Amino acid sequence: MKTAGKKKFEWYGIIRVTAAILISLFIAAAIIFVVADDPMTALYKFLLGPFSTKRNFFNVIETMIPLVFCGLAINVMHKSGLFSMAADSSFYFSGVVAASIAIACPMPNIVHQIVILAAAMAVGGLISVIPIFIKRKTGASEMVVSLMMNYIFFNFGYWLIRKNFLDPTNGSFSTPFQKTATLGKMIKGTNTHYGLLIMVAVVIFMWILMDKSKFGRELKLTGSNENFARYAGIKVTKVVFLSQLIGGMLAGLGGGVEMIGMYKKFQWITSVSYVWDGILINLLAGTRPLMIPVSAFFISYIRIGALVMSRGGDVDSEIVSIIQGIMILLIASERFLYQMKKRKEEREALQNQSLEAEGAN
Amino acid sequence: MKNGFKKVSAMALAVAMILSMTACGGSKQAETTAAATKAAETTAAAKAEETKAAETEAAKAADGEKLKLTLCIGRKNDLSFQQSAYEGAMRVQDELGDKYEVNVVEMGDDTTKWQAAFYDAADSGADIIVGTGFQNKENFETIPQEYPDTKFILFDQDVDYSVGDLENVMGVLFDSNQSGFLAGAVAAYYTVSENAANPDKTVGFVGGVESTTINNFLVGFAEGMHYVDPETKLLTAFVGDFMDTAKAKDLANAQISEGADIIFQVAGGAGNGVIEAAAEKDGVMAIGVDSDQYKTLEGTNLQSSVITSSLKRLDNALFKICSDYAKDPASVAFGETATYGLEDDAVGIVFNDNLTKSIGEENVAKVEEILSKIQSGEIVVSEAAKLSADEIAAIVNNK
Amino acid sequence: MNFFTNLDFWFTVLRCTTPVLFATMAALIASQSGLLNLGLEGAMTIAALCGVLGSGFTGSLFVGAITGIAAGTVYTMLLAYFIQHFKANQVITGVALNLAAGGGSVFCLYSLTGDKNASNSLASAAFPALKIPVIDGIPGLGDILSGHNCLTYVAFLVAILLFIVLNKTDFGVHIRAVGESEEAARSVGINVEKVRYQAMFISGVLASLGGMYLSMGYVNRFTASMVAGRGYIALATNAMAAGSALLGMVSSILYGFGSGISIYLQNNNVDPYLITIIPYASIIVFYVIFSFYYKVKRRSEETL
Repeated sequence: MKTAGKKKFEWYGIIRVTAAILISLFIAAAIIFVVADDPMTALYKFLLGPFSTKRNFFNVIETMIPLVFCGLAINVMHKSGLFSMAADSSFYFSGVVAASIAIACPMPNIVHQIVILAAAMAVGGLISVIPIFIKRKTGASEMVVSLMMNYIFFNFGYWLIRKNFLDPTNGSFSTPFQKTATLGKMIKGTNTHYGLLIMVAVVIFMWILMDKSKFGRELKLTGSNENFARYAGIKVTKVVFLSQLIGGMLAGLGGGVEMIGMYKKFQWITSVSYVWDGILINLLAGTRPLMIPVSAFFISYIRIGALVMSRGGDVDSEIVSIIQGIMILLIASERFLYQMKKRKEEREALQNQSLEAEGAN
Repeated sequence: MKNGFKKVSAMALAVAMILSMTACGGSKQAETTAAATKAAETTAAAKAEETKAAETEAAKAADGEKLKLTLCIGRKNDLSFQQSAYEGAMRVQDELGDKYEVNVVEMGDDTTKWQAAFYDAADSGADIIVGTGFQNKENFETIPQEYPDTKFILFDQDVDYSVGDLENVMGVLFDSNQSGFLAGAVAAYYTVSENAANPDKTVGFVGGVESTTINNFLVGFAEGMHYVDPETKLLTAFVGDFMDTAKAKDLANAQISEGADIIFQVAGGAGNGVIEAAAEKDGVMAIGVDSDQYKTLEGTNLQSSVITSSLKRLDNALFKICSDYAKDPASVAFGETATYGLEDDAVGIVFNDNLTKSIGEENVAKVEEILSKIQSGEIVVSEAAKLSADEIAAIVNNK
Repeated sequence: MNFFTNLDFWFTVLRCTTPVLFATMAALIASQSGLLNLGLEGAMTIAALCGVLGSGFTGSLFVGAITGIAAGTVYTMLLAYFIQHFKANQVITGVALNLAAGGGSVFCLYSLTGDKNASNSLASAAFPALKIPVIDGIPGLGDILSGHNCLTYVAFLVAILLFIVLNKTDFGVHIRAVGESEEAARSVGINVEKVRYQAMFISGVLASLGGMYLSMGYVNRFTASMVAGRGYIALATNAMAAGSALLGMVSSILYGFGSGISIYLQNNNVDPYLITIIPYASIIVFYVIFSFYYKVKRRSEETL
């Protein structure tokens, strides 16, 4: 009886997410129809553009990889009930560290990649712990500190690259990485790299950690009610610290994978803001690690679709951010489609009553 | 009219849908907005009509056997060299419309997505594919090898022809350091002239993002002003992007308060902030970049503050290549780097009444003399691509 | 650091302070009512855009100002509505609306004017600069305090006004009561939802003014991402203020001071990327010190 009830609740969640996606896509379609001179072509390109060529499709996969890492990072970091945005700092600065090792330290193949990714992870983890450490010591809000940190780590990181590895022929990027510092292309004719496999492994690991392990249960309890968690004998401080550390390591690994998977030299001359994407993807996935690749795929799909659309037409690709905004708003609203749930519950309650009444008879 | 209405109502519709969906109680404000948009309608409509007319014209001409020219840029309205390339492509469409079918692809800001865009363009059967900037170096070294029948032109960056068979690729460079040199000479004359705000021998430079493309102007500028007067002091600052107008204005104002009375802006769209700062102070002038900004700012209060512009005409170069190629494909040399300079009208500075008024006829003649010395090779201007960061700093500080 | 004696430097400090001061006050009144207005960044962006569009299409500064304020306020009220009516998470709602505003502003600009990054084809109006009669004549002081954009003066007046409203009026008491304890406020008959909507309304108007200062005050054009994180900075300066509008003014000036230094240091051949860190780093350092001070103070009060 109890499991059946749980299943119904899951369905409610899925319907809500689907409805939010459909509503936002519908609004996007309406906007395209009014803005574009040739709306059918634009819409066609937007919805099916990623399938137009092999390269466009694998673009979706490539775009998805960093999104999955950041989604998982936000998943574990925010489940603690703390809204730290330090994943951006971790992602960017780990990219800087990865690039530095990739340029400056010649090492044999395979060892080089492992060293780079390990360093990226370590640095990412360390950075993400800073806001929560400051919070414990002084009570300063982790969100405020981490938001300011993101600006600092971007400027500081790019300054380090410029100071040490600037390529004078273009004056913006770094000198090329060593040949050994690449993850290698997985599929010929595309940029999809072996980071995809790392991503899959990480997703499975996080699924086990978050949904099947003691740590996952303790973290969830801490996030939903810290005092109760403390009564239940959970070492709250330790759990929260660990969650930030793991989140930062994931973001850092993501930065490292992206850096040596997609690039041959350091090219991040503007700040990357994956943290907002991470929040979006985590929410879309219903904060379940196993669903994060699915939602990341969906987001990259509509982004590539919008790019393909804007390449040939008169609709700007920024339409995606409107879709995303509406989508998150609706999903984040607890009361969205609440009436439906309430009515259904009422109906079930009535049914149960009548059943009981019958049983009594 | 219809098109304009469509666009305005799109916005209204989107707002209305969101509002109605959430049944938000802000209807008073929404009404005001709607009223304002309505008022805006007429202007937008007139504008849309113009573009529509241009579009149909282009569509009419699109018949018969034509060369397909595809321009792939990040954004066409960056007010900098990408826009210049776009204008060149538009000129090809307007004036060589019987020979070319022009396609402009905007690829967005994320450079990792650009490769796919170039492949798409090549797959669509384009005859000539044009790109800009150092971000595309690798793309133009790999993709052309797979499409030997397609011609590739890369502006502002040369490619390494030794990496493979790149017979169909042309890198196009500009002697923008020479434009910078002439601008530097103008600045050195202006800062001591009687029109200048102060007798200080201080001039300013505001760049967008530090890169070799920008530094090439800077190096020439510094050498040019030190050629005229080694005592002249140069203040440099970088905005950090090509869009933040306010920061560019802040930087320019800071330079003005430290004694600069003429400022060279190489900051794309942000550069208008520099010109605004100059326009607000008496005796302070700005030097424009890429195209003749005295002309592009016509009708605004900023115009009279543009003393001259340091030119880099991607549009002229692109147009010249296309018209030559249409006449005789063999006359355009692919498989090597082309450099466009003073004789092609691709670089230089603008000589106009505003310049003469500001520095006097005598000094204009001196600048023209410097110009001829550059042409004859008597003056050799350094190139930023061949200098290290420290060497550039040494040139800037004249050490 | 010879520019500290340069009067223009101090003028720049006040100028850089203005948009953040507006945003700080917007964050302050929201946080006093117990809400986190993470949508400041988006509200400023939307107001900056709509102000330019409104004045550009009509040629009237007044219409532009009204459009800008209306747009920014509707946006903020939308945020409030989602938080209060739909019980959405404040952080996530703010992020969602900021995402939509960031891209949406570029999209709207492009669809309406054909410009992609900056409203260059639109001749929009600007708020005028003001010379203050008496102060203007004083050498030194006049150079620093007079000749600013009128919104700069509005910003400082707003800060003082807000201090009075929050501390001396019934309305202010209600806001703070709601912010301190929803239950307690409800029990004495305060309509919590209504007070919060009112606070968010004011917050929206103030954020709009801050946004419009960027596109219609100091420079008169809209460029994409011109708000450049000032909405987030305001969260930090507000956190430092700990509920006092006057302290909020101080923390905003601190940010303005940091930005002023980072602008003037560029001319002294310091690396631009390194000095961009200054305003952010100074905010973190001071914020951490302040928080630590409050924490110690709270603890000592508790032990008493």
